[in-house]
Amino acid sequence: MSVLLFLPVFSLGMVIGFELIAAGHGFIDLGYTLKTAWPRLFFKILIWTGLAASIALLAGPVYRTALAAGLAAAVVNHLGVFALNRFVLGRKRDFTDV
Amino acid sequence: MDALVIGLDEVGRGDVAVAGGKGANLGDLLRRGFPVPPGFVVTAQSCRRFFERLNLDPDLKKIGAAPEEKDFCAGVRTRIDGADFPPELAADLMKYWDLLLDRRGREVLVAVRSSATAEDLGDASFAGQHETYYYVTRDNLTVMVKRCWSSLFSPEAVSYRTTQGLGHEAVFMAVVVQEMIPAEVSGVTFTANPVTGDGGEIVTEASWGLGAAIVDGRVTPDHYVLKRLGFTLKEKRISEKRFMVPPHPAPGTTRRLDPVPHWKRHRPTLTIEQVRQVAEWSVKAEEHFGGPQDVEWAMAEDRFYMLQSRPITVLGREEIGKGLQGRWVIFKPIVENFTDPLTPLTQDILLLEAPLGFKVIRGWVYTNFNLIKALLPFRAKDENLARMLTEMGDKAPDLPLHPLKLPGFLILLLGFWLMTAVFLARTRRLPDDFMDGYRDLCRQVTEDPAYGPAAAMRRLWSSTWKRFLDPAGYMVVLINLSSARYMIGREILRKLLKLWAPDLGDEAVALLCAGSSGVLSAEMGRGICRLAQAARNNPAVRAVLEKYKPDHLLAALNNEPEAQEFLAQLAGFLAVNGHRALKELELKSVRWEEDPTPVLGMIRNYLLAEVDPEDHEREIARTRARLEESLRERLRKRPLEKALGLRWRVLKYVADRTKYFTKMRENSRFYHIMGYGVVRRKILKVEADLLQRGKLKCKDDIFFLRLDEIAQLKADELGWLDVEDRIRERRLEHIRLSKITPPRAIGLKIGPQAEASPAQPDDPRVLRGQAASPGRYEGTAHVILDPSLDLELKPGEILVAPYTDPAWTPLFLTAGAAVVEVGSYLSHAGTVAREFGMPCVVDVADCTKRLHTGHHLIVNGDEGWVRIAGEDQAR
Repeated sequence: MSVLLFLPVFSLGMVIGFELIAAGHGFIDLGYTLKTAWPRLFFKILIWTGLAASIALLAGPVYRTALAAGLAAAVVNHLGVFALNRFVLGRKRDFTDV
Repeated sequence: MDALVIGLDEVGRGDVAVAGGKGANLGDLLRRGFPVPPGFVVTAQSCRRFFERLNLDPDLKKIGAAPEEKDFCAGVRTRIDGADFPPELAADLMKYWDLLLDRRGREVLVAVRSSATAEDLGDASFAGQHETYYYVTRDNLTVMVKRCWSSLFSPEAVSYRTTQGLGHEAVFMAVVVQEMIPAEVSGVTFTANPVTGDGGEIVTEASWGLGAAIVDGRVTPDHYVLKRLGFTLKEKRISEKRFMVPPHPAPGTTRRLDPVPHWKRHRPTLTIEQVRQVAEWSVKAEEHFGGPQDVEWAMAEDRFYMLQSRPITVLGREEIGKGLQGRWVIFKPIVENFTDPLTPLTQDILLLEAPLGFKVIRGWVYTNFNLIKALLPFRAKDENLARMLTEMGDKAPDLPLHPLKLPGFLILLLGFWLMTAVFLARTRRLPDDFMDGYRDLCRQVTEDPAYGPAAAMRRLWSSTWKRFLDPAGYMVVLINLSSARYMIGREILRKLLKLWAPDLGDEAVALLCAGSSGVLSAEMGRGICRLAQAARNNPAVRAVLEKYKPDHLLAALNNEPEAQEFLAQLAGFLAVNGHRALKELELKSVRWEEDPTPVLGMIRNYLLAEVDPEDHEREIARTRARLEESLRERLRKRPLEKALGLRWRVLKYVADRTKYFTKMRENSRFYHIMGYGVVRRKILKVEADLLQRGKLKCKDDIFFLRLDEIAQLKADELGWLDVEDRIRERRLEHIRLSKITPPRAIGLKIGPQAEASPAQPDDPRVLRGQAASPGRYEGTAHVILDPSLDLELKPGEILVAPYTDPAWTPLFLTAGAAVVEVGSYLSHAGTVAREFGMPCVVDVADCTKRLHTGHHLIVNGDEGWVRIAGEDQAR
């Protein structure tokens, strides 16, 4: 598979990965109303997982690799962004408080 | 002259080397018959002898080369303050004190002032040297004289001299000691308008008690403007004078500000005859000195006294940023909410974790133009790019792209997407109440003593996005930024309407995107309407609201037995909206929960207007429904629209998404101001502690200190006398800067704000700005500078304001149109005006000065101009 095809599938994997992560965060974001919100969150995860699984099933093994790489990259990116915010950009700079 | 102490009437203009500039001027005025309080001067010679006795020279030579200059200066000052006062000088001082006593026939208090002997030392105001000590008694006179001398070695004065290349060894200070007038009324008079420089106007500001309260900006004084010709009254504004510096401090207290009795607060301080008397003396001083003067004066027992006279410094916009390196453009999102400079503490707190490229210049926030230019992919003249940044208009920028910059910009966009993709997905579709939990977070932080103001700011504004398990609803600032997606929706909607219904104007986009329920700032306005309705339905409450001015209403309502239900409703409103304030991004601004006077004023306004603002909203809703019907009619003529209705569905979808993000933007603002209110509560706690310990003397002084200075005050590393000067200087600077609108750019020029409309070329009656909400309107102008002072906007009047923020929203419910001096399409004024379907023009330079209440105006919100059509009945 050429790079030209790998990249879009990889990117698609990242987008699906981001959506799944966002849906997972939804359990925290809508924690105050989980009793009514959980079906919608669950459905969201189902849809995106279903989409990823469909692509993986219908596409060839090489595309599956690209998709999986994209999904993994999304997770790594998300954790990396958190670490960057927390430990680098947002490190406790000295500030005076009163 | 070798005398150690001389009478004030013994010096004249030529004795600057002996008595300092201030002393020489005052002596000269006294000799020429001006009513200057009597006194004497501790000569510069005395200061020199005292320093020689201490053998300070070897130490002074080391300043500038000392590793920790601040500590070194503190050491010099400690030596001066701790040294014994020369007995011969003390004897001379007491001799002159007794002369004052004999003259007055009773014990006196004096004011002690530094008087610089050379121009090289700079204007005392700006070289950090102390100005005036009040309430000085015989017992502590020598201490205060030494304090004036030691102020020569304050960090600011030393730094000034070092920068100017001046030595520190040959610097001496005279000290002027004058009888302190037990002023009933004090003020300042400018023999030319200090803002515009107009020599045809004489401006006087006056308040009760000593003048320190006005000069330091601690009270809002009465304001009188006379025409120089004939001294006829041109303008008079009587303010609510809540505090005064008393002529005699209350025993056993270190408090400097006393409350003014209620009956006196709205009373004019001066009769017109007294205003003229003050003006006459001030003009005489101007003639004497040969230039416009800023005269400080006092009145006691019907006698006028001149305390000080100096040349007026007119601060223009070009002074801001003078000598600064780099190129900077004003950060519109802050300044369009209010144009005053931020106080020092607010600057520290707000920019605690500001990203790269932000800078505070004289209290206003600017961004680095060179940095922004490097990041944006446009090929444009600097002035066009700067104009785009400062106008923040509605339409996508009409600037050509720079092909070489495009790849870098795309990489930047990619990086931005990778950083924010999950957050954008999380907040794409959430229920209206998803941020309600932020209120609980605010409560937790308020109750936790481990959070000081800075830590509270961090937790509530910036740290939430670094906490993995925080819900999105806590990230209110990030939500505010991310809701900018509504601009994409608007642009898409505009393009689709241009394609499918080209005859509908921009007002169609505005109407389609407005009208969401659950917008908290609009709900706030409706809450005030409901309170007004409740008041209307309660005769006793209505009578109180009609009878009393806003600042007396709460007390009057509390005394009215029939008003309890109304007060309970008011408490309920404040429980939800109490964190709001006028100029709410300024931490010094009092929140509604502390003082609901502005809310009561707005309720009163609706009551007196006898209008139901909900009529306005119903009319907008009807207009929107008509537009939608008209749009559907047009679409049905398009192929396949009748069968599938696809175009309408697309338009509705885009409009709904735009409304969602617009609402998110407004609501996130509501909550992040709530967090800001928590920070203010923390600061007030610290202030109360410092006031109680005598480390601060006046309320609100804390906002003119930096965080590290407050920490040093708390830790007893600094005392009141160490910070008194800097508070005073900063208050003075704040007053001066508040009178001007900040420059849009520093280090580069921006062209005229808007292209001249072809229909209105160069008409002097036309003021140009930016179109913020479409439509045309004709009506009477009402200039409101501060809604806490002036809330009576009649229905249909055109609101003319320096800026607006959410606290002004209720005024929009009755206004026919709005004209705002500083703003943008995206500002509060533009957003609310579009929501209410009324024309609005923003960024109209100096509109609050060029337009007057009573002007008949034509407002064109489509093309962004305002025309003075005539004068209506003067108010």
